[in-house]
Amino acid sequence: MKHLLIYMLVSITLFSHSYRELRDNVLSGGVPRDGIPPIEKPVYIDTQDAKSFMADDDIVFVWENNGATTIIPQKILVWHEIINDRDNGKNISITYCPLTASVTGYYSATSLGVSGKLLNSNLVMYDRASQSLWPQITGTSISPDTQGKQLDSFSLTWSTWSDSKNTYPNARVLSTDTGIIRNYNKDPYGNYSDSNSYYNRGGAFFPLMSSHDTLLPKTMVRGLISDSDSVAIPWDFIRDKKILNISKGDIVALVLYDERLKGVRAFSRIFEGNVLEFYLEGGKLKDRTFNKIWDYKGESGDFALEEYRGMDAFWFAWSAFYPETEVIDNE
Amino acid sequence: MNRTKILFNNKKLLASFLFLSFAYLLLYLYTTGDISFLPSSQKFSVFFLTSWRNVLFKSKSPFIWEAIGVISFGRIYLAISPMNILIGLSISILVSFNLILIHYFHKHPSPCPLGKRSLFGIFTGLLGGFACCVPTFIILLGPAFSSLTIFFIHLRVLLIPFTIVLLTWGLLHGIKKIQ
Repeated sequence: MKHLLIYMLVSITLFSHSYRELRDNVLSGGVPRDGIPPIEKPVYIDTQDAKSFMADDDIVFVWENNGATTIIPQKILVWHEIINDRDNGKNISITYCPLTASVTGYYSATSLGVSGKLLNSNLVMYDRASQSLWPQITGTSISPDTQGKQLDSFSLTWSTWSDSKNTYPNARVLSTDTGIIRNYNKDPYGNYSDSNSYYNRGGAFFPLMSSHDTLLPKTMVRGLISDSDSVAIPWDFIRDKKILNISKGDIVALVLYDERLKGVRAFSRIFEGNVLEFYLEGGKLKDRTFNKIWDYKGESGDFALEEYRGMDAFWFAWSAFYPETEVIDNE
Repeated sequence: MNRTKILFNNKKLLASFLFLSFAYLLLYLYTTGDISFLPSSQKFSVFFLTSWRNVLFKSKSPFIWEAIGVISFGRIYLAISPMNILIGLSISILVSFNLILIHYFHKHPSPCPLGKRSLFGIFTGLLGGFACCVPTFIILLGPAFSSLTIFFIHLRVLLIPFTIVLLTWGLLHGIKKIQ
């Protein structure tokens, strides 16, 4: 009975917002469908060739997919917000919303487009086959016919060009050959290193369904989400602690700071039916149950931890979608 | 037609007209994002998309179209969008025509001089630029002006037609008064 009630609640709400409320709060971003054009045929080059247009402190998103690594310059993706591609026979979409500083990858049935609409200042994607709407941060459909359907996701790690190419010299890099004319040397919203730009100052440009002053609006957090709980951990706290064993509600996760990429990663702590507890010893990540040494990708030999669902985003955006989210910023 | 000749027979006014048209066109293309700057100086280069026909009439946002090529030189990056240039040129000509009419009536006072209301169109034409999801001028002004975003998103669909109507009205009204 309890499970039935939870199921019924989940089918009409996404955490504390009903799907109707979510639909009612979708706004026009002022651009038509695909007015911000996704990259449909991405062209990749090697790190040597990419040096011609990349600077050391340029922000990049690193996608490690089955041994191959892809580096995606933020200054390219900011103009397109979505890359539609294929990986191992599956359609994938890498998505980035500059207004909410959120990046994540999705497995999609067909391909995703930029709807030109926003919800909580966040990119609303549309499925090109069904025309249904999907806010990027939730990866969940809010259209009546498909509401509640969720896309499988994969994580990308924030880094810089300098750190990512030193870590992965053989990676492939998204090139500026996108089939669209844009000045990829200029970010239309400003610059992450400029304290006065949109990325570091003020709040959202668009109305939010709920706002919370627990943290400053533009604080970068790693948000984690389960079926019934959500948490947000500020980047600064993760950077200080290096690793965090999270147990909040049904969220049982490891959050760690990757020293090579200088980015944040999150994994499930449930491994082979055990809840693992991790610690650092001599700079190495170990667990207390099996005493294995794990790397930053959550791998130990042939074993791998599962990525934990969630993403990095501005606090104002994460908390607008998940108003009951708990902030973890002390132990 | 003869009335406009009176204006353009004056070489100073003609030069002002050409200069103002060019300057306003540059400003307009800057607000649409077609003119921007590079972080460092580069050699002269020209690039056109092989698939330019596919994007020639592709709208980025109301009254702003995709570029089909780019010319860069020094620190200047000039995206070539024929549709944006066409709209920009039309508004620029209307703006500069209105301005030299005002100048003309200043020098040749008439019993019913041109109202300065049409000059409002000079500014509204520059508010239509859009960078991704936010009006360019709001990004330039900073997050403190973010509350204007929604207002201008609804308004901007009307800005370019409003500008053209206002400037055309000012122009026709002014030409009639030339003696």
